[in-house]
Amino acid sequence: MNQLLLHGARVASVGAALLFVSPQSFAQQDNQNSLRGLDLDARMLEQTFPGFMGSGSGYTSRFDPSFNPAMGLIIDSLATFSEERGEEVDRFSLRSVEINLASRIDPLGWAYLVAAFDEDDFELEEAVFIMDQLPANLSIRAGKMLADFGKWNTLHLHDKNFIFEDGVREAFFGGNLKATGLEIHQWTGIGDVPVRWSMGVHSSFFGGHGEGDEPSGADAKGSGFNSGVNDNRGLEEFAFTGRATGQQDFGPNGIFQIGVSFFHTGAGLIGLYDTNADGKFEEVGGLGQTTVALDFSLRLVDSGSLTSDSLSLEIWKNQRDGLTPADEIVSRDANGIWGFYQHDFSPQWGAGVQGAWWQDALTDLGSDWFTGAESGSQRAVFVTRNFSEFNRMRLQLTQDHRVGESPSWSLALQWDVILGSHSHPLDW
Amino acid sequence: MKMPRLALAISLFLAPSLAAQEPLEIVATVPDLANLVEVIGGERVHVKTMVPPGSDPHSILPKASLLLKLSRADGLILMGIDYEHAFLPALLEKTRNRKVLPGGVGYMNVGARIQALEIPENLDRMQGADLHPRGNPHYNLDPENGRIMAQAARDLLQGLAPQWEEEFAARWQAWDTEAQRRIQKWEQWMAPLKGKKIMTYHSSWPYFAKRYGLDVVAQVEPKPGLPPSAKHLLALKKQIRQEKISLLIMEPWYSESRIKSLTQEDLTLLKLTITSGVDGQSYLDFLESIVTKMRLAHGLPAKGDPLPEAIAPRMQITD
Repeated sequence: MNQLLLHGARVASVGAALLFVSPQSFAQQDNQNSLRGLDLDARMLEQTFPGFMGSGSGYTSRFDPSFNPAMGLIIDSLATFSEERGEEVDRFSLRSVEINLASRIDPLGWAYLVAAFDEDDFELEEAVFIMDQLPANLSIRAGKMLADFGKWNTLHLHDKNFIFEDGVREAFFGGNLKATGLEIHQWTGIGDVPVRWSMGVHSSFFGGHGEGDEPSGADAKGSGFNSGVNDNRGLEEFAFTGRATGQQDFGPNGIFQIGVSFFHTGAGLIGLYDTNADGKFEEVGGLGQTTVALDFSLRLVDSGSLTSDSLSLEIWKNQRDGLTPADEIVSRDANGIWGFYQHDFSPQWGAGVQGAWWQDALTDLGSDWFTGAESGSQRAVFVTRNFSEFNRMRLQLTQDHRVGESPSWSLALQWDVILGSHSHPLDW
Repeated sequence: MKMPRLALAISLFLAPSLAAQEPLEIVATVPDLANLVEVIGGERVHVKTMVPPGSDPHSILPKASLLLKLSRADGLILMGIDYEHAFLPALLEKTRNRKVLPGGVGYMNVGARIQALEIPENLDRMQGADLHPRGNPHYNLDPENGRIMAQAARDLLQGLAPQWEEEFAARWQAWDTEAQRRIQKWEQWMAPLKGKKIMTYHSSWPYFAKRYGLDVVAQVEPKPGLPPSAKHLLALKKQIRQEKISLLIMEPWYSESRIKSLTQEDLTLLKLTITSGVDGQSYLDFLESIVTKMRLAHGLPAKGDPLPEAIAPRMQITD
């Protein structure tokens, strides 16, 4: 009994010390012996009350309670040299400084926030609350988010394997599809195959990369991708998203994944058109868009040699309302396909190619594959050097052939660094 | 009409006991722990391993199939001390299976029972990109820690299925007796190597070195997780000559071409995996093969039980 009381008192004293003394002040103590002693006591505390501390659970996570919320910072800087002329080329630029905050709110859920700055603008990229303790592996995400569309939409641009966004996403969504609303997710297993699905409803949406490049003013010229409501909101003005995907093991440390996604809004899209033929662009609402994508991804990691291969392909079909010169709304079809392949020779070095081809979503020439509508294309080759897990440099040579423009070459050097908290999310 | 009712009553009566006879589904993060759970659990367990044998745990993908395994498991046994940092946090974040979450009846973090070495006094990333804040996680390479791992496996299984407590205890006892016999033997085998200066590529060997009195005087990685620079390799070459370092231990996944300048020195390169399981090798056999290879690498004859044929050809000692 005395032993138990002694043990209890010791545990209580360590608990009190942990409550009132911050980790930083521990680090400042000169007496390393007492630090180690305290560490042992902390282990004892963890064993007595498993799960009480992050420190004894055997791993760190984005919910590590050392800081609440956990914080991270990603600096994405770019040097570009291009055949194109203008203010935006041949320069060094800070493409984005991204701040991430994440914390568990209570036993029901957690939240995260991603805010991005560039040299001129600020944008709240994501602010999401996730209720992740619902039954049957259901979860609800609410807030402003990167919508669950395709394999790559939920990744921020600096996290992708290449420097510039794929041309298909740019053409049909204006960049990553960001939406404010609610998504419901569920995952399960069919036999040994993990599958998941999601459905979302959003009241506003737009495409972009968080560097203040949301379409606005005359820049949009009808090709912008933005939401807007003419009068009262009806069901047609909402946007709906959905995705279903399954992932199969491929070798001892590899995956093959296939997925299908959709985006639909009946009349929630606005475009900018010169309706009066006076050179002034005005917002035209009540437009609809439906986009469907099929994605295939393969990732193979050879853990015995630390080499890896990544291959991804997405096929998109887009139907979008637009105005004719006679100001009539017509629905236009367009197709797109993009993909990339990367081989990592080691954890430090990798190289790959990226390609995209798409039909113009705004011309009215039909949707036959490779014929009919005007098309754009993009091809790139890149080399990546990882100095460490937190410090990466990438050199990319890109040829862009935008619809209605001449092809142009550009050379870009990207340098990304990560400060603070980071995580290795589930790859699906 | 009576017979079906009787059959139903019997089946309802038997159902819980039949269910109780179902083997436990255990997920072990590494092959060493999987082997121990299999040995102690016998036919009472089904074990699935997350890290394939011979793999670098840092390179494991946090894939959805692992999440599925975890969600269907009765128990999870892990190394801890951030050993599984690359994949386990993401999986634990997603799973709703409370049994395998910290604090759950099926959650066994073996690292919490280990006196960790090399706990960094400074977590500044200047000290390396691959820092383990809770200490070096490669404790499985010390056979005495292996005994703690086996105890943890026994405790996990006994907590999950108290009805088989004695069975697990008996199997653990048998394993532990064999482990103690071998540990004693290995102490003798390794005695001539005490004080030998060695070099390692990554800091995977402090527990092994401490157990057998080896002196790890240098590492090829200048900082944990960072490949060597030309300047660092030059300094190592100098150190090899000055301190007469005769052995370099390297995991097979690191590139040998990167350290060509070192292997041109009078140095034996010993390529060793850091977990068991290659070709179905048990944990104890794995440790024994390391001890034997250490002797061979130092020019001493292999002792004791002959190595199984499956192991001998994999010896990767180069002069």
